[in-house]
Amino acid sequence: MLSDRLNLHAARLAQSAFSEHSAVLRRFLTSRVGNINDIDDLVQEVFTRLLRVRDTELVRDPLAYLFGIAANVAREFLQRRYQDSVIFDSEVADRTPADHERLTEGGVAERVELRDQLNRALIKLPPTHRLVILLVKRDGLSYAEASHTTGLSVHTIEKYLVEARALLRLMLAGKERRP
Amino acid sequence: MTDYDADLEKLVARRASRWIEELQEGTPQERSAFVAWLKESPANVRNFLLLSMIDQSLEDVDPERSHDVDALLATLDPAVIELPRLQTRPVITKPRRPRWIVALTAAAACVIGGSAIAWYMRDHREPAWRVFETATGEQRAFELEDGSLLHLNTHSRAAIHFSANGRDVRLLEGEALFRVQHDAGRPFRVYTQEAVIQAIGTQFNVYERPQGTSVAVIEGRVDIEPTAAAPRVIAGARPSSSSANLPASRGRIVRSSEEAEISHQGEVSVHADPDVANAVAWQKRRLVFRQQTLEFIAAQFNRYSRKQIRIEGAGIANRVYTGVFDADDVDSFAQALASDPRLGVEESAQSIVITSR
Repeated sequence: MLSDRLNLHAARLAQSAFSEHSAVLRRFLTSRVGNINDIDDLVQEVFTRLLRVRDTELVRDPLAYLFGIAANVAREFLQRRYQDSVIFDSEVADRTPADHERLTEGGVAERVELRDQLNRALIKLPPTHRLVILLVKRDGLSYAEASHTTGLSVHTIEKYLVEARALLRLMLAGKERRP
Repeated sequence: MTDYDADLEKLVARRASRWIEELQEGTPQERSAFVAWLKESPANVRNFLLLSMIDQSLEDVDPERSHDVDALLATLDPAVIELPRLQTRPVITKPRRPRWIVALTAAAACVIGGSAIAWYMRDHREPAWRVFETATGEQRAFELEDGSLLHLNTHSRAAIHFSANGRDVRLLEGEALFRVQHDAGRPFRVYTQEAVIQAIGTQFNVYERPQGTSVAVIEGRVDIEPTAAAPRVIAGARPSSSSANLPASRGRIVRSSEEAEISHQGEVSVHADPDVANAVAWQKRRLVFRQQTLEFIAAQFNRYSRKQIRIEGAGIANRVYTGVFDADDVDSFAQALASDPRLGVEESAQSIVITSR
């Protein structure tokens, strides 16, 4: 279906906005070095900067703005953290990256860590939620194809996906809040 | 984290998750609404960032492909399969009151036999209070003569009186969920010990507790009038005249996603309960039958259940029933049928055989 393909295209576009900044954001958001207050601080700063952008400007491409701002803030915070570390801990100072590039590149460890967390959380999802995630995300089916496979309507597929994602986020939050 | 915070967090997470879908369409209106939402609170920003990260990472999920899609497909709950040919309605439940959910899923839904319908027809001209009740552990849904639905939770009792001027319900005990048909000429009012609740909208839950009455509005709005003198109900008695002349303007309006507590002293406190109209509603499917033949009902269940219903008795296939059932609970239907003395019901693991007695 054409509309479905268009959706997919739009989804990829939206994702690319995140992908562009994902390394630094993921590093920040899943960071176990940092703590929950760091994330709150980051969010607060992103929020404050968002408020300064005029709506007319934001509406043009809200995702690019949001992720762009968030990545900038995350980068600044990570830098500051490394600088703070130098003062207090010579060992950490040894591991401090020499240049800014290291802050944004890779993030492989965080990526794997997050994937493992998601894999563990996935098992706890109700079966239909899990099924929809596997079909749409892991196997890359379009909603129409997932609908065909399951006998559920496209609308229902979408609802399960929305719910599943929200549940996963809440499960991860439990981890994240652990001291 | 309080319950309320946890609920709010859930709600925000779900909203953020939905934005990811809605932004795929990306109309200017949606983008503008999204921007407004982001600027509402840091919690929204936080959730959207986390959800985006999760959404992207989900594509890397299960790299060993240890989850078996076919096995999951096989266990697909028949209750979630859409029933386009039937009049189905989602069950609206209050997630913070799990016993109600349990009751909805587990308990036998009811069959109002033809006799109850006939009773209504016969007595329609002589208005009287008709009492509906459920035993402990039982949960029933009744379709009222105006098409409104009354779901009684376990161990609950309601008396109902319909007249040309109004539709009055007295919740004598327990908890009831109302889905009210619109009828401007006949206000729908629920009386408890503490208050009169008048439906302006369509769907609300009333819970009569020892410490007072709770009213949760799922859809539309209701008008709450605290009263120490709700009309006493005696089966067969006419409603007191005071009930018919209730000034709607004096009351407290409670809107959808709000919950009100009314104390014995008549104090009304209203608080937001954003989870009232919870998205869990779509997870449950109901089968609603109005005056359908046993054959038709059995066929509908057989479409969605491995356990098959067989009708073997002569002349019973055309018997007409009305009822509301959980689509995933064929056993509840069997139990309901078993209460009909004219039928024999034999249940095994694979099938339910209905015979004539």
